[in-house]
Amino acid sequence: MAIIELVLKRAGRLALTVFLISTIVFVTIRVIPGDPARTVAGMEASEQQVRAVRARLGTDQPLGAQYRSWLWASLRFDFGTSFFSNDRVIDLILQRFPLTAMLALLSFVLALLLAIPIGVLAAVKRWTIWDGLGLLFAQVGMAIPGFWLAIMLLLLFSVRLGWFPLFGVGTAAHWVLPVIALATERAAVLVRFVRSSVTEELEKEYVLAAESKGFSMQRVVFGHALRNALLPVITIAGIQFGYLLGGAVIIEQVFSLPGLGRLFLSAIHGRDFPVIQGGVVFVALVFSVTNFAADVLYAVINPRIRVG
Amino acid sequence: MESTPRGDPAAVLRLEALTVSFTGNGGPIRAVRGVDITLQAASVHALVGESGAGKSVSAKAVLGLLPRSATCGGRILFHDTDLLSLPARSLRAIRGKRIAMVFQQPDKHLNPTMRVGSQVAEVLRYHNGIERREALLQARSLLDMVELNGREVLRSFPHELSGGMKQRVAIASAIACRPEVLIADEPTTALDATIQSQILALLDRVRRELGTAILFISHDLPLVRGFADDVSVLYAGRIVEQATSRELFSCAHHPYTDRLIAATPDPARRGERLAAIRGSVPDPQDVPPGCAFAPRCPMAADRCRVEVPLLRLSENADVSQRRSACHFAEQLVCEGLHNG
Repeated sequence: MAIIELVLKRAGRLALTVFLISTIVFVTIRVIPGDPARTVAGMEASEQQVRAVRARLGTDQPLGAQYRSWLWASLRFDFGTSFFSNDRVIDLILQRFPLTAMLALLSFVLALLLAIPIGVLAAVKRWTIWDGLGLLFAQVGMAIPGFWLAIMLLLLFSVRLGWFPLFGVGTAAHWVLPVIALATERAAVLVRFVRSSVTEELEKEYVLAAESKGFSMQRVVFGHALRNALLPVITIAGIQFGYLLGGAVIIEQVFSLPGLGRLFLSAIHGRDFPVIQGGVVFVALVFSVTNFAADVLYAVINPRIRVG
Repeated sequence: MESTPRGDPAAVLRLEALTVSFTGNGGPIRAVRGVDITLQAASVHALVGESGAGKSVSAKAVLGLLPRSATCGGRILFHDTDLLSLPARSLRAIRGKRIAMVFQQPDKHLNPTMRVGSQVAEVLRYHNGIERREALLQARSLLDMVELNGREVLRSFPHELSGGMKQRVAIASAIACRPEVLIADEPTTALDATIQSQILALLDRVRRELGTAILFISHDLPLVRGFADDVSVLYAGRIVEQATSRELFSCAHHPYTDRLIAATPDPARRGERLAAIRGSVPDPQDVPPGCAFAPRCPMAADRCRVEVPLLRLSENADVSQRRSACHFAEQLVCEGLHNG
């Protein structure tokens, strides 16, 4: 398959995914109870005032009409303005996205830095104590919810020991606990993938052939098996990055970080339709683009796809 | 080439009473049950047998490539060094440098994500400490030597090459350090017939030009005719017949060898039914007492089912050094059995 063909195919799938998600979220937030006009107008407002607000926000229009106008505007990255602050949704998002993206990215790097060595060690020393410890890490890491780990880390290292700041941003130390809390679960998932992928490669004939050439264990594992084992891990890692964005929203709450999480939560609370819609579409877009990038990267790195 | 007595300086590799067993669920699996082979310098010794006879296991034992569940006994002498008692580190220094190996399936035994040139150069860099550029230059001439276009192939990935070309690449990386011994484990089995003979011709050239001794493993007895100097026929983990190629093909001294020769198509006898060997190789966990071939042997007598026949020199005066593990080796009359 030519690389161009692959890119076009994946780009088409990406567009379809984002379209479907935007439709689902548009319908869902209007089906669940709660009227944004009531919130905007205030509890004491009369029915007439509320109706006026509804007309101003456009939520009195038929669903189809609302959807059409929103969709057209969205295509130009115009997600409208917030019902409450009159700020443009896209500005609100872009203002907060760098923090969330940074949190996700740092956690992604940490997750890989943990998962690859642990996974490789577990695969190479299969059925030994090292493998057992690696699997234990994977099991425990997956079982612990990120927000709980975040709270425990806060209690121990910030409240009890005072090593790290309690909340907020500013210094490098502010990042440490949120990144650990967010990365652990992803690392745990990736450890299992790396372990099984490396194990699979180590059983292949070319590894035996490399051993027959007298290469050391390190050379066989890192020079031969690992480069093949990490290929399928790229795809999985792309999906994991998406999970990180979602997880970041929650972890931000625990550490009071002014990222997308806080924006979305208050928007959902107040039924701020444009912010919710815009936010979900934005995250879906980032998630899809990441997976898309992972697929393309896989194709570029894997010589069998690149040329064949 | 004549077989020579033990201790001969021309012998590069000697397997002495080699045994290999694997731990299995129903007790140990004895895959190799005492094998003696002498590989002379710059000669080809073919190790022939059906699948499960222990050919590949013996070959892998030489390089210490067997899984951990395997236990080896006896000795594997490379010159005067017993490879079986060598520490892993010293064995690795020999592997790929002084004893190299070529495998059966070239498409599986090359690293799919590494360029061909790098795979050949890697051996030179690792064992001879040659730096990258120089190693790639040498890799290119090695690829030329195995009759590939080194300049073109150097930057190819394995999947861009045909099976025969891949096997040539594997041979190029095996002979990179000019090894004294090359173990070829069914190197032509996965290839087309025309490619088979090309690869055999290439291996023969390697033997002549580099003086590399070749331990050639095959299930195909007629294939090694004219290529091997010596032949050992393996059955159920033991050698049943050992002779020079010329002697062996002129007249079999073991009924199994005889059936193997008879079981292959002969253009002179087209239209006749092939003499397939009835039955199958015994389960290595349940080898019959006595001669392992007895249940399938047309000549088997009561003695064969009780007493294990030893590999011994023939008592016939006219045959020099050939050995057979049949109680009735002397009674085998070649033509008679062939036609019967």
